[in-house]
This record gives sequence, C-alpha cells and structure tokens, in this order.
Amino acid sequence: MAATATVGARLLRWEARAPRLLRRRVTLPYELAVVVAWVALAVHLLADPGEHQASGPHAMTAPHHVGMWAAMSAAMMLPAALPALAHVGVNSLRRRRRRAMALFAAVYLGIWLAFGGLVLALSPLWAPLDEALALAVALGVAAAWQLTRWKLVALRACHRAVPLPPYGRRADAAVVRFGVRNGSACVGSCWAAMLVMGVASAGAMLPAMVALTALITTEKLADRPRRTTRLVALALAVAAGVAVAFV
Amino acid sequence: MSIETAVLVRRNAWTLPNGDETLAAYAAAVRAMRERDADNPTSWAYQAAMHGTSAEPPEPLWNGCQHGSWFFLPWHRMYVYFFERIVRAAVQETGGPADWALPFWDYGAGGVQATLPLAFRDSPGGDNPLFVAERDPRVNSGRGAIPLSAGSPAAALERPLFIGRTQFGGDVTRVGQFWRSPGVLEQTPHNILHGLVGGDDGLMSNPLTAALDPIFWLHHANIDRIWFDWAGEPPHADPSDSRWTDQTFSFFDEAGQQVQLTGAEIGDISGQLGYTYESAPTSGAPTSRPEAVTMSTPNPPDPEQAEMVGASEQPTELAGAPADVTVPIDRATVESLAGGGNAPEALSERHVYLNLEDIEGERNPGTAYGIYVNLPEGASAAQAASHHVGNLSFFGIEQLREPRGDEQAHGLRYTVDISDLARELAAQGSWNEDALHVTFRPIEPVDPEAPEEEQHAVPESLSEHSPVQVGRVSVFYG
Repeated sequence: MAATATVGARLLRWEARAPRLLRRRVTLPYELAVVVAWVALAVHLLADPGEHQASGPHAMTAPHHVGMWAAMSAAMMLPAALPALAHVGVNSLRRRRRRAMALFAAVYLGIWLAFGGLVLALSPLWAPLDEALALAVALGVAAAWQLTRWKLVALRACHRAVPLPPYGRRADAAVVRFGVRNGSACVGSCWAAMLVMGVASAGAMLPAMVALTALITTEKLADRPRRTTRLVALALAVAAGVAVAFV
Repeated sequence: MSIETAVLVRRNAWTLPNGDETLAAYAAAVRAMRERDADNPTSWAYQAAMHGTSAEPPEPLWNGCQHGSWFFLPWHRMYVYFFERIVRAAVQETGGPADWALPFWDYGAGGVQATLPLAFRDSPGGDNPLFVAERDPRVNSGRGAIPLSAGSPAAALERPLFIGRTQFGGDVTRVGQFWRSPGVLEQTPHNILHGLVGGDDGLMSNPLTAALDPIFWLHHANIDRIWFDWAGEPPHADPSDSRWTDQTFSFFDEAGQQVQLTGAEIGDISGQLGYTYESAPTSGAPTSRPEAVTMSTPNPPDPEQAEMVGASEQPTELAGAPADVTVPIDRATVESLAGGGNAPEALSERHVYLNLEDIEGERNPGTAYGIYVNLPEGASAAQAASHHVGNLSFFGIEQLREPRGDEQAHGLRYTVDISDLARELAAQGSWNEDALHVTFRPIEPVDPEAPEEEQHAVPESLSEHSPVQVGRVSVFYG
C-alpha cells in the first residue's frame, strides 16, 4: 500500500510539472470518442459518397442518416463540451464520476439529436431548392446569427455551471439540469451553423464538418467571444459568397 | 535633485504632518478633473471609466480593469501610477506641490486608521470634492471602522507564492475584466473593503462606479503598498513567466497620450516608476490565528489537480444573517486516496481546500462574510477568531453574468487553503473526518474602539440585503 502511495505521489509530482496536455484528464474517454466518431464519419463518407447522393439532393433528408447525425454531433459538438464534461468529472466524487459524465454527455448529445430530428423534419422545405443556393442561404443565415445579441448571450450561457450535489438522485438531477442548460445554450449558439450541415451535400459534408468544428470549438473556447463571433461571421459570409458563385 | 529624478513618496493619509497639503491638493485636482470634458482621457469620469462603466458606446481603453486574475496587481499598479501622474499635473496647475504623490489609506492598522480619513468625510460647507454621499453611512461618518478581520493583509502576506488561487497574487488567466481566480490579497482586504465602503449600492461596491469615489485611489495605493512589502520580503518573488512579464496594458498619461507598460517594467517601483512608500512597514495586524502551526509546503499542489472528497447537498442563501452549511466528507473517497490517488493519506502531508462555488446574485450587497470552519456552537468572539479561514466578498458579481468587456460569463468561485486549521483541529482532536461545518458571519463596520477579538462577533444589528446564493461548498484534498 505504501509503495503504491509513493508511486501515486511521484505521479502527482510529475503531473504538476507536466504540460497540461500530458496530464491525466478525466475527459480522455470522450476525447477518444470524438476521434472514433471522426474516423467513422470520414470512412463512411469517403468510402461510398454515392449512397448519400442517391438518397436525394441534400444529404440529411433520409431517415437512415439519423445515426450519422448522432456521429456528427459527437464529432462536432463534443470537443466544445469537453470543459463542461471536465467540470462535471472534477466536481463529482470519484466513485460517481463516470456515471455523472456519461449522464451529462447523454443529455447534451440528446439535445443535439433532437435538433437534428427537427432539421430532418424541416428538410423538405429546402429540398426543392438548388443545392448551392440552399447552402448559400444557410451560410448567410449562420453569418447573420453570429452578429446578433442573442448569439452572444447564448455563447456566454454555455460557460455557466449549476451546483452539483454529491450524492443520489439529487446529484443525477443536477447533472441532467446542467446537461439541459449547457446543451440548450449550445444549440442556441450554434443552431445556424449546424443548419449548414443539414443542407450540405455528400461531397461538401466532410470539409464543412471540419471547417465548422474548427469555428465552433474556437468560438466556444475563446477568451474574447465578441471578437471571435464576428470573425466567425466573416468566415461564414465568405463561404456564403463562394456558394453563391456556384448557383 | 529635480522632481524628474527624485523618488516620490506615497504617505499614510492618516499620519500626514500638520499643515501638509497633500489631501487639499488632491481635492483641488479632483475638482479640476471633474470639470474637464468627459471625452478627455485625463478627466475624472474618463479615468474612472477605464476601470469600468456602463456608459455606451465605450471610448478607447474603457472597461479595462483586471480582476480574479494574476493580472489584478500589475494592472492596478499601472492604472494608479498613470492616474497619479495625471493628478500631479492637475495639482501643479492649481498651484499645489510639484512632488505631490498619492497617499494611501492603511485601514489594516486598526483603531482610528481603520476609519475613513477625515478629508473624505462631509464638510460643513458641503462642497468637499473628496466626499461622496454614495458610501455606507457608518463608514462615511467615521462611526464605523473597517474590522481587522477584513482590513488586515496578514493572511495575504503569509502566502509564500505569487501565483495560485490560494496564493498572494492570483492564478494564471488570460487578460479579462473578471476571471475567477483571485489571490488572497485581492479577496482580503481588497474586495472586502470595496463592499464595506460602498455599502448597499454605493459607488465603491460596483466595479463600474468604484473609481468615481476619490477614496478608491487611496485604497488601491494601499493594495499596491502591500504588494510592494510582500515582494520585498525574501524569498517572495513576482512571476517570471513571460505571459505575465511581457503582458502589455495601455493607459493615458498626463498629456492624454496613450502609453503602455508591461509586467517586467513595474516590479521595481522606485527604479522603474519613480515612487516608493514611506518606510513604516505594512500594518502588522496580528493574524486571526496567531498560534497557527504553519506547515504549508513551499510548493503546494495545484488546487485544480486536487480530489473532491465532499460537497454540500443544497445551496446556501446569504441575505444578511449568519448561515451554516455542513459538508459531508465521503469516507470511501478519502480511503481510496491512499491507493495512489491525488492526495496523500496523512493529514499532515495533505492540503485541504475549501471551495465556495457557483456564487450568484443580482448585485453586490456590500456585506461581506467571514468564513469559519468547525466553529463550536456558542463560541466566543475570541474563539471564533481561531476558526476564521477567510472572507467572502461579492465585488464584481454583477459583471459575471453579462460582462461589460469582451469575455465569457461564469459564476463566482472562491478557494481557501484550510490545511493549517485542519492540522490544528486534528492536533486538538476536533477534526471530524466525516463532515466539515462551515459558518458564514456577516462582516459590518465596527466600533473603532472595539478590541480585535470582538470584531469576529456577529454584528448586533443585522440588516437584510438582496440575497446571494452560494451554490455549493466543497472540500478537496490535494
């Protein structure tokens, strides 16, 4: 026992000196889940793009793509939620940590799935439109949303926490409440950007995912949210302009 | 020796010699600065807005203050330094002394010095530029003094390191108005003093209005002096991290020109900035626990890496009355720490952190709270002093939800290192491994004649204030 404690103390001292990235992180399983989601999506999209083309002009209209939306939510939205997941993990008792983090992740992703369902339900609205035009409109809406006051309010709400009691149903309920609050704020902040994924064609999906994930994560983790949302708005507006050129 | 090369001396506002012109010259300069156009960077309103303001649209360098951060001390040193230069120029314009330097208010000295300096109180003619009505009436009249538990910098001066949430100067953050990693000095006496002087809704209670009160600058000169004293005491050292030393902040000088300074350019105040403090050491008010056995390791673990071992079940509402909360300690977690976890098994090697988390409220009620651990029921004021571990202030709470500056929102969080008290209680056989009992007692201005021990007593007349909620109280072992 003493030897184990010594090893533990050494590890602790090493960790205190180690760069933050190399320290033990409570979110490591979720970071790996993000990697798995990206690999799965990339393989799926690159291996058989025709499958998505066959299902309609815009990739997200087919019901079998619900699973893909789930993978997309994990790949695109979990990176921005890692600080909140770490907050849940660090502020839960060790023996409840996995349960609390899993509960938070489930609620958070559940909210994004519900949003995905809404996008799928509404997709007939833009299905008849020219693909490039639909993309340009979605990017334009996303750029405009970036400049609203509500966007900033929602983005800031993503950074707020709720008290987490230590035990029992009260602890679970608080984690669920935190997941709902954080997930809702995140949807409020990023719904317009994710709408772009709802209209992107199979060929555009992977590059759009990479670009939007970079923008969303940067914005969520930014120290200067106002300036960052404006820069992201500019990037989205430029992308909308490029899409217009293809109409 | 010319004024340009002389080192100017900031002196104690309460012990200036008879006939000294420092405060009268300050009053004349304040009047002159108030008469300047609001868009003039050397005007009173503009200088205050550089700390914080709700005015729109923002002018250059407004809302620049740094709090809850390792930048708190350097930013305010620079801010006060350039303000002093602007005031000195105004003093000279109004016929005052060319070697004018900003005095400081050493409220931590106790006694009469813990009351508002006379020059800042109401004058018979009612036209004293240093008086503002928007202060706590007890402090403003001199009837109420700053209690030593709130005004003494002793706890901060005991901290061995600059960087860290439970250390002297605060933890590493990026630039921003309100982070949540204040050092011990920022919390006590800095934040507490703001609330005690401003009271309920006064200028000093809110960072958006605080610098409009002329006493603000003497308060910050005192905070700067405490830093100067701490840094001059080996082996204390300011950060050498380039993120701190190279960080540039911008201000206006007496000509209204934008100027910049970095952390590396302000450590030597006499050599680099041309001022110093009169030689009297920082008021050495005794610590609340003079018998404390200090066993802190020189390099304590990062509280961020510590392990949670217990937390309160429900939020605690503070609205003017004392409040108690019990934090159950999870025995299974404590036992598991022995197996190579994040904290040593033996209490003597362990750091114990008390966290007050998710603190939310509409506004700073002015009232601050003393934090006591395992305070026995019916404890005398003197007993209470030995269980006092820190103070909780809500200064800046308005800014956390909707910051004026370009930064993210967050709740208020405060961490206290209670390792020494834990070891003391353990030595007395009164450390309970299964639960921690935390008591909050409101801090109000006290009778200036009251002995120090009595200053930990629950105030006789409690006034209700707009509620503030402490979302959770937790204990971490590191």
